[in-house]
This record gives sequence, C-alpha cells and structure tokens, in this order.
Amino acid sequence: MKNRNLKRLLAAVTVSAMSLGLMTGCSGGGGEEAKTDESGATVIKFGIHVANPAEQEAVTNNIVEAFNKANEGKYKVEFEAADTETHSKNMKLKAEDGTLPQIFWIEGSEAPEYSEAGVLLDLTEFLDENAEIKTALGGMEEAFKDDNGQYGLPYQCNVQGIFYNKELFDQAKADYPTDETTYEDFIEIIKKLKDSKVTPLSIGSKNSAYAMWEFNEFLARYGWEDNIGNILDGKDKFNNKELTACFEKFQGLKDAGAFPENMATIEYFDAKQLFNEGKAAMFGTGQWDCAEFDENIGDKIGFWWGPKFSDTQSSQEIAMKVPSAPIGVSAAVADDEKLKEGVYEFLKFYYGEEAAKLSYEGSIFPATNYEGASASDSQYSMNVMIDALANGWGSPQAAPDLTVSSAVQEALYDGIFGVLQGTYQPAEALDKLDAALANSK
Amino acid sequence: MVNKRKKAVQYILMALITILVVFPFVWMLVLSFKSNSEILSSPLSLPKTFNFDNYRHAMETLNFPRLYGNTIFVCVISLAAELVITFFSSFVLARMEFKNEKFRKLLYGFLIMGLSISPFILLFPVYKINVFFGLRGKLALIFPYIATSISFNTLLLVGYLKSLPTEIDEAAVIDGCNIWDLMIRVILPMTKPVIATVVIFNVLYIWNEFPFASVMLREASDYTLSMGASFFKGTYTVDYGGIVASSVMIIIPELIFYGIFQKNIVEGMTAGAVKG
Amino acid sequence: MPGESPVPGSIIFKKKLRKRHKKDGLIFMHWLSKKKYKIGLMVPTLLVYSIFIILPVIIAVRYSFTKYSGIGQAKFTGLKNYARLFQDKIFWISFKNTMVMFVLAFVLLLTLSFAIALLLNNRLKAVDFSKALIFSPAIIAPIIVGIIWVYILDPNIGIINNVLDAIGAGGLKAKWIGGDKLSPYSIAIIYFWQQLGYLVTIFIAGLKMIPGDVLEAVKIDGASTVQEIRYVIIPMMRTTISTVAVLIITGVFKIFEIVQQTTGGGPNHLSETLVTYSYSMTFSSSDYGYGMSLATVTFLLSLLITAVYSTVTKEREG
Repeated sequence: MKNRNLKRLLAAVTVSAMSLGLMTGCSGGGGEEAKTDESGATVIKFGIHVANPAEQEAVTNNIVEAFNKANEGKYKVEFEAADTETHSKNMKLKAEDGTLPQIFWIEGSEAPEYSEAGVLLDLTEFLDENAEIKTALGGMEEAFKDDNGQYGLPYQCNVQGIFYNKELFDQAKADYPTDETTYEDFIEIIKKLKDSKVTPLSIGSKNSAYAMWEFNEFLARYGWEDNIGNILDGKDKFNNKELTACFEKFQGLKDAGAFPENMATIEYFDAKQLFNEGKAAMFGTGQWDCAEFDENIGDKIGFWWGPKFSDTQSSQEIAMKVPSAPIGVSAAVADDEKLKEGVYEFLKFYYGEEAAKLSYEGSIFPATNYEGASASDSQYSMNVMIDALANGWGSPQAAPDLTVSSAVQEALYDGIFGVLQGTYQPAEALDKLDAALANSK
Repeated sequence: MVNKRKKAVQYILMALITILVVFPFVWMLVLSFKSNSEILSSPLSLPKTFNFDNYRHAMETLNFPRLYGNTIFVCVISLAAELVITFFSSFVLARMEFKNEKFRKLLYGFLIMGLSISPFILLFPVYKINVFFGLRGKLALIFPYIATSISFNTLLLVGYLKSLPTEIDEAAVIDGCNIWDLMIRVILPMTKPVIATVVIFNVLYIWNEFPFASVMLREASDYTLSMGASFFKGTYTVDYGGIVASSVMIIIPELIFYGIFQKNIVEGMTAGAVKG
Repeated sequence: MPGESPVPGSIIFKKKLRKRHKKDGLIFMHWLSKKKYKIGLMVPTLLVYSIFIILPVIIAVRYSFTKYSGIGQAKFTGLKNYARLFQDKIFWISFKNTMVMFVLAFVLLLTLSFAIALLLNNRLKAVDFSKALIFSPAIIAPIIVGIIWVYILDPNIGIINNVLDAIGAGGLKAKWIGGDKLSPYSIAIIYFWQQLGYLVTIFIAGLKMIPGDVLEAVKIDGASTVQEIRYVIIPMMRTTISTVAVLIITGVFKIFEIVQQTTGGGPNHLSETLVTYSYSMTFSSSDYGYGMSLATVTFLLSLLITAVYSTVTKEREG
C-alpha cells in the first residue's frame, strides 16, 4: 500500500521533471537570428529605454512607424521597451549571452564599456557609404569613437540650459538674463525673485541626480573640456583651482537661496511641475521638455545658457548643443547579411531628412542638420532655443557629465547636489570625485 | 459590568488602529481620481470632480486582460509547485526522526538562510542560470519564484507542523496509516490555517514582485502586472495619476482574493479541531 | 520563573505543554522515518533551492572579489573591495541607518503586532472587516507605499507639517524625510505600517492553533487576562513569536523600495541603507564587484543577527 503510493509520487516527480526538460529543450535553441513576421518582413529589434515608447519617446516612435510603413513587407522595426533602469540592466545581461537587440539605446557613460567588450558593430563603414548622413551629423558622431571604431551614433541632440518664465521676472522687476549676464548679476536676479516669493531655480535631487543639465554649462565654462583628459590620466586632480572656483559658485547659489527647500525629497518631475505652474521662475533642462512648456507657459518662455564667470581664463562663449546618449548596433548583426542591410536601411532613415522633420515636429533636436527642417511658430520653447543657438558659439564635443565613467559620474552628481544642499564643502565634494576615479581604476 | 467596559475598550482600540492603518490606503484611492498636475501641485486637496481619466488612461495604456492572465498563470503554477514541495520537505524537517539531530538543524538553517538574501543580488546570476538551462518566457520567472518562496514557507510550515501534538502521529500509525495517508489525510487538514497564510503571502509576493519580472521577461506578451507602473514613468515624464490608478486596478483582485481566503479558510477553522 | 506561578491551573498546563513539545515523543514516527522517504520528500525543495538561491549567491560572492562593471571580463582583485568597504564613510552611514531601522522596527513590530493579534482574536463584531483593512497596506506594491508616504512626510507638501502649521504648532515641524537625521526613523515607521498586517495575520494563525479546550480551561480556572497571556499564550506561541522575529530581522535588511521612493538614499547618501547603497553601487555606478561585496556583508550581518537571536531565545527556553 504505502509502497505503491511512494512509487506513484516518484513517477509524478519523474514525469514532471521530464516534461520540464522537454519544454526547456524546445525553447532553448536558437539565438536572436533574423526573424520574420507573418508578412515575411525581416524583424529588427530596437531596445529602448522607456517602457511605453508611444507616449514617452513619441518622436522615435513616430520615426519607427514611418519607417515600417515605408518598408512594409520588407523590414519591420519592433521595440524592446523597458524603463531606463531595467533597460540598462537588461542590455548588460544580453551583452553577456549574445541576445542583444540589433539596435539599442546605451547609457552614455556605459557605452565605452560595451565597446571594450566587443559587442558593438563598428559603424565607420555605414558612415562611409552614406556621406550625406556624415555631413548632416556634422561631427556629432565624434563623441562615440574609440580604438574599436565608431561604436555608436547620437540618439538625438541635446540642447541644455536654463528656461525662465518672463512673467515672473517681470513681477519681480528682474531683467531677463542675456548672453552677457554674469554670475554676480545672476545672484542679484535670484535675490529679486526670492523677494517676490517665487522659487528662483527649481531643482529636485531625489532619484534623479542626473537632473543637473544647467550645471554642465558651469563646468564647461571652467575649462572642463581642456582639463578632463589630464585628470583622467592622473596628471591633474578634480580638486584643482578651476573646479574649486566652479563648485564655490554652486555654493553661492545655495547661499542665495536659489532652490526649493524640499529639493531632497522632490524629483525632477516635481521640480518641473513647480516651473510649469509658475511657482518657480527658472528650470534647467533640455529640449525634451519643450512641448510641455509650450502647453503650460506658452510665449512667456525664455531660454538662457547660464552665467558668465570672470575668475577663470577659460572661454565663456560656450553653448551646450551636445550629442545625447548613443544608440549602438549589436556586433552579431554582421553575421547576417539580410539583417545588416535592414539595420543600415533603418539608420539611413533615422538620420535622414524625413526623420529630422518628424523630430522637429515633436520638439526634439535631431542629431542631424538639414536645411528646411525646423520648428513652427507656435513651438515657442523650441524657437527661443533656436534663437539662443543663433549666436554661433561652439559646443563641447560631449556634455561634461558624459565624459567620465559611471562611478565618477555618480560622484560628480553627488558632489554637485551635496554642495547645493550644504552637506559638502566644495573641496570635500571634489575629493570624492578623485576618490571615485581612484577606485574605478 | 467589567466585561462590558472591557469590550468597549476593545472596540475603540480596534476602530482606532484600523483607521490609522487604513488612512494612507484610502488616500491612495482619493489620489487616483485627481489629475496628474493636481497630484503634483496640490496633493492635499480633495479631487475637484470624480474623474475617471486616470483609469481610462490606464486601461488604454495597459493590456489588463493579458497582464492579469500572465500573472495568474505564473502565480498558479508557482504556487502549486512551491506548496507541494515545501509541504513535503517541511513535513520531513518537522515530524520525521533524524538519527543526527544536528543534521536536521543544519538542513533547516540552510533552507531558512534564503530569507536574508535581498533579491537583487540574485538577478544577474539567476539570469545566467536561466540561460544555461534554456528557461525562457514565463518559465524563467516561475523557477526563481518557487525558489524564493522556499525559505519563507519552510519557516512557517516547520514551525506549525512542529507545534501539532505528537499523539496525532501515534494514533494515525496505530490505525494503520502509511506515510502518504498521514501527510495528506491527517496532517494536511490540520494545517489549513497556516497553509492559508502561506498561500496569501506567496500570492501577494508574486503579484507585486518587480525585480525578477523586469529582468527575466523579454516579450511584452509575457509581462506581468507588477510591470504596469513602469509604463507611466519615462525618462523625462511621470504620470502619477496613471501609476496610482493602475495600482488600484492591480490591488482590487488581491483584496477580493484576501477577503475570500481569510473568511472561508482562516475563519472557517475552529481552533478546537486540533484536539490534544 | 513560570514554575513558581501562583495561577491555579498553570502547573497542569505546563505539564501538558512539556508533553507536547517533547520531541523525543516521536517514537511512533520511527518506522515511518525511512531514509528513502526523507530523501524523496526533501529532494525537490533542495534541488530548486540550491540551483536558484545558493548557486546564485555563490556566483555573487565570487564577483565580490573582482572588479567588474557588468559587461566584459571580471578582474580578480582579491580582498580589495572589502578593504575599501571598511574605509568607506557611506558604508558606515548606511550601516548605522540600517541598525536604527532594525532596532526600532523590531521593538515596535514584535510587540504591537502581537498585541493587535490578541485584540483581533476576540469575538468582536466587524472584526473580519477590521482584519482585512489592517492587512490592506501589505498588498500595496512597495513602490506605491513610498509614493503615498512622501505626501505625508515631505517637509513642504506633506500632511504632517501642514497640519502642524494649521494648528499653530509650527515649531514641531521637521524634515521627516530628506533631512540629515530623521529619515531612518521615518522609514522604520513606514516599514512598520507596511508589515503590521502581515505579522498580525501570522500571529492570528498561531493563536488559532492553540487548542480551544486549553483556553476554555483557563477561563474556568479564572485566570486573569494578563496571566493567561503570560503563562499560557506566550509559551504556546513560542514558535510563532520566533517565526515573526526572524521575518522582521531578515525583512529590515531587505527594505529597498520605501527608501528609493521617499529619499532615494539622499541627500548625499545620508539616508542610505545597506541594501540601497549596495544597489546604487552595483547599478548606478556600474561597480558590480564592489556592490556585491556590500551585498555580501549585508547578508552576513542579517544571518549573524538571526543566529544571535535564536541562540539567546533558545537559552532562555532551555
């Protein structure tokens, strides 16, 4: 009796183990080779850093849809979508087991790591074959080159600076900032705004340490681009004269009361909301928020690169129009002619004129430059940025925060926010950067 | 008289605790009827109108039937498997005789140890192990879920199984039960309250689990409910209204489920069923 | 000691209890405890557990001796990560915060969830309803728990500070979260709120397992409530109490989403816990090796405290 039951039990276990083996055996085979959909079109996977591209990366979604429509039955681009944090984790894992999507967005500071691991396709050939795209990129691609070649292309182009609400400036009787406005003028403006009971510069530091775009301009104007090579090579330190002066300016902003009191518990989104509602006079961000500002602030919007500094020898005539994080192509694509053709076809479209137009329509600066692609009159925020760009100032090759490895980048964000909140002294924050660099070697 | 006063105190306490605990929860319901900018700018105010925009938007964005379907599928399979295997192993640890008592303790400690492990340590290695075994899609999720439940279930089941009087076994053995009968016919019915507790916790864990789900599932067609909230948070935008509304929709089945379980099973058991 | 108890029925009960708990009494199990049964019944659990929990932990621990970004080759660096860890100020801040949360959550949760379970175990009207409601926080996804509490604790937009202002007690306002001191305490309270229903449920299930006739007998003997709890319920609930204690200890060392949502570990890592700091190192700073060394230490610490707890309670019992 009991023996029979035991046998039954064992049999059940064996059967389930075997069926499990079968199931896994069936699904285990096959990498991520070229797949086709019902219509016979070659499917190209595009790994993107938001879970819901139709809403959260509308421009890219539109470009992909336009491409799919134009290539019906031939190629079909499908998103592999996950929120940024998950996406970054997933791409790393997939790089390890060789199942990367054909095209994918890469966190800027992590891209060189992918390149070193040899999982990215060298796109030099693509650019050579498509000279007009190389021209349209106008050097933007240089940021994503190393010994392994052209490992990525800019996903978009970021124009970053400080947006301001003219109405609130008028109420506070403060002058609008201009290209010539100095740091000292800026402090005066902040005081006036503060007196008129608005938050001068909205910022949130919770979970979004990356929200420091306006401070890239500060770093750039204190000679970041010239010095960073030496610092990374160990010939200089972050805790040097220039950067100390720069970080002291951050401290000055804090002392002037420029930020919301609860900046530690609000996020970038909440900070933006303060600006949208006219509770804060300035907000540092990039062009991706243009559509939102058009809706909330309309033609009262202004745009400014940031203050000029007099205690440095570095050039002050710097704009901040820089490549955003790159997109890369999986090296595995090279093994499949048909797939490679499709990927190139898509890149040609993505960096082509039609896509550039779609991009401007959605208030995003594409990485490319084409005559005739620009914003319409009602895109107020986009237009004030285009005006600001008209002064012809050069931009760094890459945004300062994207020129260092992830660990140093974290320390940089941490250091800046530490000074802004008064937890760090400037020198202390810079020492932490040096320590992070030493640890990452 | 004393008894009456005692009862009154008990009622007041119960009401007070309930209100305190439930307040944030109710508030979430309130938030779900406010627009995103209302939530951000005046979080303390009551919604101006009862609008269902957040719910409409959540329904449009998320494929709820599929999300529910996937979650229930993963949940049922994992739950069935983990209950069976942990009940058996806990029975061994709690009621069987070991020649070496230390070995039993070691085995028990070994299985409990998993409680101390935070799931994200496991993410990368488990992913690689899944790849090695060729586990994909929902299967890639089911095994980690079964594994992570083992420690918790062992802790609870062994604890309760041990506390059942030994006379039960004696009586059963004298009556001629074999091991199978003893486990399934005699012991199992007596452990209903704790099984119900384990089921509730296991289901809730799977229902809300995010780290594994986000890393192991590749195809949107396999996504589970807990991944819903990520659809409302982009790099530069966040839709709190959408997050809150979709959370409420995720919670409702859980509430119903909990209601059924606690009434019919936990409450239905009379403590007197276990006679010493 | 309960032995000198003046309560009339207590000696009888102690005898009963002793008999129940005497593991040597399992003589009749002897002939059912055959090796093949034991192995057959244990193997599925051990197999799944070893492959999906133990093996991954071993892999993770191995990475803690390397420099690894998550892609490419890991470079063996010996004990370097651990040496760095002990000099890392933020590690010590996270350690301190975690311990604060642990002590606070442990004391509050263990005592209050037991008390509430006792209360709800009474025959009261609407008690089921109340039980369901008290349990409700436990079913909210942890991410949402964080969002809800931000609106309560935030120094500017949170309810608490606004109410304090409104009733003219503005002086009591504080940076409940986001400041440099109170965050770990606030997080412990949130954790308390979230876990209460869970633990009450476990305690109630435990109370249900106490044979009804035992409690009836106490009533007849006229034991007062306090005596009943102390000499009958607590001894019979020993396993449940230690179950809950272990869950609290190990749970506190896994608190993650609440911190991420309320403060993100900030400002400047001041409210970081061991888990969040290790997460931030692993994924935000792409320092997988160092992150895993932090995770390993956290894991060992949690094991250690659990072990100390079991030893101490065993000695007291024994």
